[in-house]
Amino acid sequence: MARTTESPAALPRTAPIASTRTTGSPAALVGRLAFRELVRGAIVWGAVFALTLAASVFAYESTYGTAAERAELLRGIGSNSGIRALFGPAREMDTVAGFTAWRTLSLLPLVAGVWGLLVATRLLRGEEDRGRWETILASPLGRARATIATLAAIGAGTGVLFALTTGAVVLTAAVQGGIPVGGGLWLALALCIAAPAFAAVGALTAQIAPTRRAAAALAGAVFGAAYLVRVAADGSSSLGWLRWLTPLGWIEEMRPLTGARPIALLPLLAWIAVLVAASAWIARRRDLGAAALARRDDRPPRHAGLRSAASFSLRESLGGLVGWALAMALTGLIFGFVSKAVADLARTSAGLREHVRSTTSAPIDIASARGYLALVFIFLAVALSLYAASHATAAREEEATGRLDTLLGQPVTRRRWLAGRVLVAATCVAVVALVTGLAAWAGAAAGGAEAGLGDLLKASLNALPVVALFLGLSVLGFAVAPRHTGAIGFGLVGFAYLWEQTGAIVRAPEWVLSISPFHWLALVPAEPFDVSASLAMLAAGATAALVGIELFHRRDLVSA
Amino acid sequence: MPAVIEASGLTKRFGATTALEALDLEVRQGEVFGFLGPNGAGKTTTIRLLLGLIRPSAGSARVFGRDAWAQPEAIHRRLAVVTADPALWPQLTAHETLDLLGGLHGGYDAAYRQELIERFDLDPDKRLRAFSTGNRQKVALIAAFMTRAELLVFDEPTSGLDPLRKVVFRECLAEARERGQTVFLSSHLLVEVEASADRVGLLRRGHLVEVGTFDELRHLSAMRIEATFEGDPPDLDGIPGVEGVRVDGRRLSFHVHGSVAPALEALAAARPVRLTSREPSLEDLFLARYGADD
Repeated sequence: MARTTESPAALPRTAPIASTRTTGSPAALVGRLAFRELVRGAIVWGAVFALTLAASVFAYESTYGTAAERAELLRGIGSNSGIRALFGPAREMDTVAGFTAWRTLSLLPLVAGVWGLLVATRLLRGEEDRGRWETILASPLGRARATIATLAAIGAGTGVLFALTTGAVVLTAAVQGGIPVGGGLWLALALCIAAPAFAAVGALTAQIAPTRRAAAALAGAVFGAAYLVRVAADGSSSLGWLRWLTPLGWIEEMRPLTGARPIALLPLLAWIAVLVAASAWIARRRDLGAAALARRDDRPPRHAGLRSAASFSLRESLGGLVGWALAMALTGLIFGFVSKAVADLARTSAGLREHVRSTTSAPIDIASARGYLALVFIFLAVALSLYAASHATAAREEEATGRLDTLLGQPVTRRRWLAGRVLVAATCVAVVALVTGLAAWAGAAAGGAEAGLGDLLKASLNALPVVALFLGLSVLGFAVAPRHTGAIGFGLVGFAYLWEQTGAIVRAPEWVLSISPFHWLALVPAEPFDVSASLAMLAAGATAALVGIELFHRRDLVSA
Repeated sequence: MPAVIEASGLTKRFGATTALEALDLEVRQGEVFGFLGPNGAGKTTTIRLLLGLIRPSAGSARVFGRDAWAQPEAIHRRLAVVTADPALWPQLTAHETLDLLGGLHGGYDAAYRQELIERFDLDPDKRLRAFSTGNRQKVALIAAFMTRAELLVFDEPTSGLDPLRKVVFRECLAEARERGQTVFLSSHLLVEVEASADRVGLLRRGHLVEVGTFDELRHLSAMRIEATFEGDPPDLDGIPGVEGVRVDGRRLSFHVHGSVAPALEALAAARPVRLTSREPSLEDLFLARYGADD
């Protein structure tokens, strides 16, 4: 954009402009600003995508070496409707390409979609909530163009994700063979395109919902609905046409490495274009700060949870608690429901049993529903650990916004404040764990699996010590490096999980594996509860939390 | 009068930056102490040290005779604080915010709270997210005054308030002083402090450069004189006490330190048609002390 420094001739110039620095167009500046906010996440997720891809390829080669094993895999997974519903249709499972496509497509587009919608709602409605959008719009940049510049930055972030994923495909294809480069690119595109597809959804909900949280929840609901429609479409052959209704279905219909269908890209591109255009259209027309779904800003007072710092922490945590409990209950229900089907399949498929053995470091037999559920609960423990870490980031948020100054200006000690938050976090995590166990039991019962209520409650309690460990470490991170609370808390959980996963695949020795706390989890309900490991993790978590509280007590408050 | 706030050698460094250097300060019980300085002088750092939110790099701050860093809880039971841009919870209503802050403080005067809500014209059932900075400041001010705490600490408390509410704030401040409450009022707005403070401290670049009553500090500053003449203004070179002479056509303006008699004689000889002089305001006080570089 050309800069205009000349006043119209008829108007007197107020003052001569001594020098003008060319800084690029405002749209480019806004885009770059947004890109800086998201590029770290894009790189982290890109690394996760790359590792998952490489792990799938190597796991296949090492596990299903013979043609007979591959044929069995094709027969077993391809014919199981429960697996197909959850993880998508399995095609050409007798090739490394087909297996890799199925394994990565079952999970990574979901991750990309959630990432996209969270980033979009944060950078659009979140910035508006914080008043920074107002500063941006004071520049010579319209509301619609500022929105599009931000979305373009998300597009560039997806580019980073895509580049790292592609890099992994090309490298593993070069090392292992079996994956054509063109097909690999198409796979990387299918894995990543959910990010812009659901960022576009987030862009729209950011225009119509009043807060970042509400916008993210609404976009999350759209995502959940799309996932359920996809599950229905894949679960029943008569409902297959439903696949053509949602972005997740279209991504599946891209069929990377298994007879690619370029036509499926068209609805995805149209979806993105229409939603982006609609967001820009609304952004241009609405008042700053306004929202079609705005709640009333006045209401009678609610008195609960205003008495003490700890009860206020609890009050503030309830929204997140309900959201996590619902999401985890749904997850537990689904995995519980399919547990019998998976176990039945494993009983007839030596290949699947071997596959599980090769991708987990634990000697587990998933030919029983209990064995399968024990594995599922490792995954649930990871999710619960992320939830625990989110409590530390919430504490940091309180400090960064200066609200902690307000609280500590009252007769509230730092020790009591942080200890209260840790207790609230521990309680919330325990509640969500129990809800998950209950839901998994209900699902297992509905699916006809032999797993009792006691089994699954034990499994959820078994997850708590490792979660407590990560809660303690996150609190310690908050105390030592407040500005990096999120990176430390979430980073440790992610690192430990990836360590356990990759370690198992490359058959690392026991002492290497045991670096990850998730490796210490007993496989309840398939195995008995490991008292000493649990006590050790609980003690370590409690120590970390106590040291964190003490260090926090001694450090300065640090603003954003 | 016992000291409510005592700072001795109070120093705070952030890395290589020294935000506050060797501050010695005493605020006595029952007085309104004005704490003046331009933006970035270290006022907020001082207040955060007094509240025990950050730890002194050297020296100590004592409030009610207790160390601010070691015993903040006991101190905070007896004080209330308001900052320039109070950080509050956007999802709470004003009513809920007052409940929370009053509850954490350990009690408040409910009748006075109601009276303050009416005087500040606050809508208590509105969520904070719908409030402007000024309205959030009202909530924080009400929360502070309603506790009737022995010590009120204000950091730029009226920056967002409209003129009518500023009057209400000054009334409340006067009432607090009558009741015997001690007030620590930090500001870069001179009128705000001039109207209420018994004593002031001037802070500049982390150094406390002056403390005293207004009368004590006025001698440090210059009187400002402006004169207009029929013909050319006189030459004031060499006249004792005169500084900062500016000539603009037939108008002349300057500062005088000490006696104005020699300058007036020189002016009278040149037949002025118009003459104005101003008592030094705090603005001049700052200019005289700091020069124009801040």
